[in-house]
Amino acid sequence: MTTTAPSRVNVPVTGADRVVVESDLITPGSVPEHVLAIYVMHDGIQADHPVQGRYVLRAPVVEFTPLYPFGTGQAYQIEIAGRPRRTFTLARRAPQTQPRVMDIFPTAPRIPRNTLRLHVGFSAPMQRQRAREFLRLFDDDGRDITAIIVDLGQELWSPDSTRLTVLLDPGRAKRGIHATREPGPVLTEDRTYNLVVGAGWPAATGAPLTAGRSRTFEIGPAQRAPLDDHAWILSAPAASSRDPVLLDFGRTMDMATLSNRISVVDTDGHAIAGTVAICHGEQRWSFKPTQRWAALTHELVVDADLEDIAGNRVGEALDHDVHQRRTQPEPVSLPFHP
Amino acid sequence: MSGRDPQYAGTMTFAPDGTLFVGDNTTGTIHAFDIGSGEAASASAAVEVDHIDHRVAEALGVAAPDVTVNGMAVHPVTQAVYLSVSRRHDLGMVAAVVAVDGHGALTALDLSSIKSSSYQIQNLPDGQQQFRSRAGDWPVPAAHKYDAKAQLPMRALSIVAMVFHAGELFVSGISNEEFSSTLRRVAYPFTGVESEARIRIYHTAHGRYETRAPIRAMQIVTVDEQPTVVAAYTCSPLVLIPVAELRDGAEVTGRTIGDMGNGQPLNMVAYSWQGQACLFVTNAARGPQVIPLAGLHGATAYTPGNVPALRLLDLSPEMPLGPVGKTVMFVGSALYVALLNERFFVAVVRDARSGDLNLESLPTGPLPMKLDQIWSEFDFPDPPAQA
Repeated sequence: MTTTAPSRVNVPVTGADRVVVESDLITPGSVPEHVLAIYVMHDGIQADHPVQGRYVLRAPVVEFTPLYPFGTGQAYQIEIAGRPRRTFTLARRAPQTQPRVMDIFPTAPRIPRNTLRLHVGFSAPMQRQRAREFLRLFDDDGRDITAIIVDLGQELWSPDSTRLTVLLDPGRAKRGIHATREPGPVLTEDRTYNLVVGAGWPAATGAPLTAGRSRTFEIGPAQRAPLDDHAWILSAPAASSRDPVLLDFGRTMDMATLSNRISVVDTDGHAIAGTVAICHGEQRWSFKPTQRWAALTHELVVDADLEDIAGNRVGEALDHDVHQRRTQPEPVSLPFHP
Repeated sequence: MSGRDPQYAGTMTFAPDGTLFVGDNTTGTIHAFDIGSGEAASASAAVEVDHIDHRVAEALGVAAPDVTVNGMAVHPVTQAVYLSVSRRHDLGMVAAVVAVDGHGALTALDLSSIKSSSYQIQNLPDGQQQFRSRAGDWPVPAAHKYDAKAQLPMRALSIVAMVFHAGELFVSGISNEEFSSTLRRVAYPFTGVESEARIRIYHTAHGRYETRAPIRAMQIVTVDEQPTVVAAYTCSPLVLIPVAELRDGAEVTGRTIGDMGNGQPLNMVAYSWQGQACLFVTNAARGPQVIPLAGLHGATAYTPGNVPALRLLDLSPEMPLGPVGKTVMFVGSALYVALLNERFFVAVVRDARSGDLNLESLPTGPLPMKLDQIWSEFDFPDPPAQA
């Protein structure tokens, strides 16, 4: 019997995991491997041996499922007995969203000479251990002073790899400590500096930063006084409103600790849900509740390890006398009544 | 103890009944696949597959750069060569095992359809522990490569070498202890019985006792009439540990009987040549070492009290030290080696000149070499009689 019925070839195009071929040349006695074979293509040349997988024969249909899914972007050739060869390539997934630098902290234009930490926020998880290639600090003469960034061998990332903390050498920021390396550049009062995040830094997915970003800041006097909670200004919101409660510190705080070291609790000690915003050059913390404020006493609970940008804590300057015994740190409680 | 597909297929070994053990360092799990005893190979033949990485990739439906060979074991009856492989899938890698028969034909195993069981080893390093960066310790390569090396989770060394011996799987690696070098004994079939001994050695070249870096390659053979683990360490002590001392919770000090002279051991194979029992040890960055077992009997253990004033490097005349045999001729770099049969080793070899990755067979004696890349008097017409 001769037949001219065309074979039907169902080729996966969007990540499907099978090839289904229907052909009148396929009979119950066919050896599946002889009627259908899929080959990897290398630059237009067919591999010598086929992709391995499972065949199911239900004449006139044979179905092939590769043992491992077809790769996106990889070209394959389908050989069907008695039919012309054809190729297919699985579409690559939608291009990866390009990562971006969201912000560089501090945003304060003038920061203390003994600033301890800078932070770079990204829109996506980034590859770690790449800062040596892509992060630079310049002074206002354009001199590369990246060396004052502490090299711990391991970078300080948020667990989700979206925020890099850049530690400036505390041996230079603290008094009475000599860094073990040669004396190098230091931040000098009234000069300006530029932190540059270079384009090309790859996200965890491999997609690179298409645009770099930089922040310029001026250096002011060192901040060596401990945080003083009595000097903070708390602005209570109006009852029955969703206005934010505000806490002003009167100095630039460390953005990372400020974002997660303060909680709002009600009279019973239950946490209030809401969103935190940090503004005014990291001098102000604000919290907007999800629900309207009840006209009851609330509390801001501030963890003892809240730090300003120079690493000073409540009652303990970073640069304190090590012989001075420190009392057990306790959270600071700030009551307010909307 | 149910069988799950491995996330990573790394070091492998067989039991005599055809059970294939596959180490998964990402989860600290050992998978046992019942491959079956199969039919005995009819002859002690060689197997050769050029471009083994391309062949594996084709079978798995990708291009060669998308696969990495992680380990190798030979079926004790059929002489089929099993390769553990990582195969790219989307942004990650998936585990695969590919068998190569005596004719060089490849079969990718459908792991989910093979009867299997698995065992999660105890006291794993947690997934967050990492090594220190050695940037600055050495002038090359660039610091970021050392930083990247330090990103490797310590857990990746939880299963380094495996040997099956008398119904038990011996697994070298590290644990979550400060004294981390560990030799585990896992009963098979997996019953949950595991014993962990911590292994301390005197590191001759480093001039100190060490308790953290794990055994890189090992075999269990009879030394001084008792079953003994012969363990090879990086840079490069050779250490004897009687199996009887490996009790749960024990802190065992192995007997360092020599030093191969730097390098990182990769595999150790027990075999015999002309009736002489030997060990064949491959190393990263050195030729393989042939160690006659006869030299290990009654060998002196080195301690701070009797070690020669060793200098660190293999430049020093004392290296190699002790009855560690000789470095032998080999062409290319053996990434993985196992005993194929009584006549041949089988190895995944990076060819020295082309860079190709090939599956090669090499004679167990007199030398594990090939002649196709060496030019000598014997290549000329009317060659002299071979000595």
